[in-house]
Amino acid sequence: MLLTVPRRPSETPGELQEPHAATSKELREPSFPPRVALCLGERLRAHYSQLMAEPIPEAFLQILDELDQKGRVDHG
Amino acid sequence: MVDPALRQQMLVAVPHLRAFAISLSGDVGYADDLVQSALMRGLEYIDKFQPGTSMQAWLFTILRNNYYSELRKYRREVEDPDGIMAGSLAVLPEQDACLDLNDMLAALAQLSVEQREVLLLVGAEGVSYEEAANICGTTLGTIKSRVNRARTRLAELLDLVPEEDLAPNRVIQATLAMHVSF
Repeated sequence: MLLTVPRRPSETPGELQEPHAATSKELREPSFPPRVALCLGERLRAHYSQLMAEPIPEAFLQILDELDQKGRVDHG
Repeated sequence: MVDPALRQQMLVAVPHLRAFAISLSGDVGYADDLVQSALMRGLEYIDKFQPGTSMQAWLFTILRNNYYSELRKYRREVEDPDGIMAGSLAVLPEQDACLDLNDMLAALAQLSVEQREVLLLVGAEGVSYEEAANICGTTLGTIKSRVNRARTRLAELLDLVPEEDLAPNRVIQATLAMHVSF
């Protein structure tokens, strides 16, 4: 389940949320070159902050606002 | 009526949820559906939220659980071995770094969904391993293992390092450090 190697014959629904427990073998991961980790982290965060910088779609604001107004009517 | 302070916390979490959902699903339109339904569920079950805990983490949990349940329901391809998801990524509006952004989405799409989510939570959102384990409903050891595998794979996909340099070999690592230190 945790592997990226393409030897998954078929996807069964139960597999999706039930990862097998980490084995001792899995915990002995190769250490990662610090410079690569740093570079990767920067790329990931840059990607993410670009998405974060996008304006919030109006629909989401409305969901929160409508509920607030409905609440006020109910209480008023 | 929902406590205005809680509403405010939800509002603050929206950009995080959206960035997470887009990166997780690789599809802006679908991501917005996921965020919307996470917000609605969050509001519906707001009584279950424990004050003092992280609203953002709580909403992340709701969003990813919903995403996984939809994956199960529609039996979407999780591993995307043929790059179907990678090839059909929604292209975002033109931006300076647009190429980089789509490169990253395409690379992320080639990870397994479990690896993708943990890398986004830990690497991009900066949540702790413990919190990531809570959000993903798994153990700390599994999270650590997934992070390691995910970043190794992503580094390969982004050509950050030749595959052989990721071997657990001190000599190779030392050689790599020499090369990248210029």
